[in-house]
Amino acid sequence: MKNKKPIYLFLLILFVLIVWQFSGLVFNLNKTLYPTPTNVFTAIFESENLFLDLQTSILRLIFGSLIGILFGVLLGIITGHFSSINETFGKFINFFRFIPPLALVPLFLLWFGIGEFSKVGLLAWTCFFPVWISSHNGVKNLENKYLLVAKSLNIKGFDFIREVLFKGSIDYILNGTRIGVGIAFSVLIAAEMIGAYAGMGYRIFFLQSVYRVDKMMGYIIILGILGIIIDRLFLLISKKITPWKNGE
Amino acid sequence: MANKIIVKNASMSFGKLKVLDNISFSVKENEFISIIGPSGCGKTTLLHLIQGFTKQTKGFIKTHGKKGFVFQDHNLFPWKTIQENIEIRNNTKQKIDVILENVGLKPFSDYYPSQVSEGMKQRAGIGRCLAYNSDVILMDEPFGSLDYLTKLKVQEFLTKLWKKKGLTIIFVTHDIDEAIRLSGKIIVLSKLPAKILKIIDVDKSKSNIIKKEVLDLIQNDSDPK
Repeated sequence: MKNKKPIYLFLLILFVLIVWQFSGLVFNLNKTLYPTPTNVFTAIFESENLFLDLQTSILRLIFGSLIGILFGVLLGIITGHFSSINETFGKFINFFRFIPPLALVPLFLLWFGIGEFSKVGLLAWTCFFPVWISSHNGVKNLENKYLLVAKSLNIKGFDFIREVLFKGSIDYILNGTRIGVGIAFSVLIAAEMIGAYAGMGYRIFFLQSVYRVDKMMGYIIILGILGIIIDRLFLLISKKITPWKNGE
Repeated sequence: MANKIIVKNASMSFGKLKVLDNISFSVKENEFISIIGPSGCGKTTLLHLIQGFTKQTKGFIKTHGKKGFVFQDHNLFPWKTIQENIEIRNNTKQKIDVILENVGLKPFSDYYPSQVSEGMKQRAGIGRCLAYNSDVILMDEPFGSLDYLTKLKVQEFLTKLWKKKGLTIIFVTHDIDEAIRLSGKIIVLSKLPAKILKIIDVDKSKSNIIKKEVLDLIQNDSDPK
């Protein structure tokens, strides 16, 4: 019974593709505005810029996310462990969490131009907050008994931060990272639509202006697939990093 | 023999709640002392004061030597293997192998705490103290959650280790038979605020008499006057 599930999913996808393919014929739809699956897949293969656009978007996402994750984890550990810092600095930073990242796109473009810095910076900003909050909660929720163990063994300083606070909160951190990167991905596409010369978001916006709906849909489907791959990759990495949870 | 632990007129309060009242005793090198008393009387608090997790509100506590603490729930870090937990404060590989052999956990060194039994986790907790080179070990009801047979095995292991390493041990328990079996001296605490009712030297040939004495002390203390 367990092995039959992928087949049902495959059959469902096939059914949707068939309905989509033949609805164009049945309802005599305009092929330019409502391309069929075969139009879309042909368009994907004809896209000369696809590889470059994918590479550009993925690299922006990686760099922006890494910066956001680094600062998010660092600040999360600090505010989670030192309540005095959280009461001042933490609460101050928290105000910025409620600003929608997309509202900052015009500002970042004016300040940093249309180059990579504005987009990577925006992604770092976007990814930072979920990672910060999750890391903070992970450290805060670390059971007091583990802090007592560290105290009894005189584990201090960087060893304490690395071996107890960081590793003890790793599943919270991973969860926050997964959410942060997911949101950053959406923001990336929107930011590329407004200010970029390459990338998946830029290309989709450009294709709209030249009425290439078939290529647009191809790019959108690839974005969906990319999102699934990123998410699955996260699950795989999480499993590798937290082997003690695999037996639970 | 030198005193490893001196507790003099120690009292502890948490706000208005007085938990320990004027506790005084000393523990010599290589002694195995049990602390026994009714539930919630402050045994763990006393151990925490000796370890230095918190400071007494009055009085004086001094320890000589390196202290190790074995917790009631072992408190192994779940994200580290058995070996990583034991060696967290010791990086000498050879010594860790010896310690793993001593605590009988070499075949399980790469397992996580969630994958081993409670008895093994407690042995790992003791191994962690040994790797830290503790010569004074404070144990807070370490065998409370073990089944009878496992408890006997781990008690036997602890006794052998104590003799072999010349450790000084303070062992908190609510099990009078365990206290008599393991230790050379029993400190009997009263109900809250805990005072020392009596310090009893254990003669294992008179275990039934000692058990009755301890029970009578606790019973008389708990009876309303």
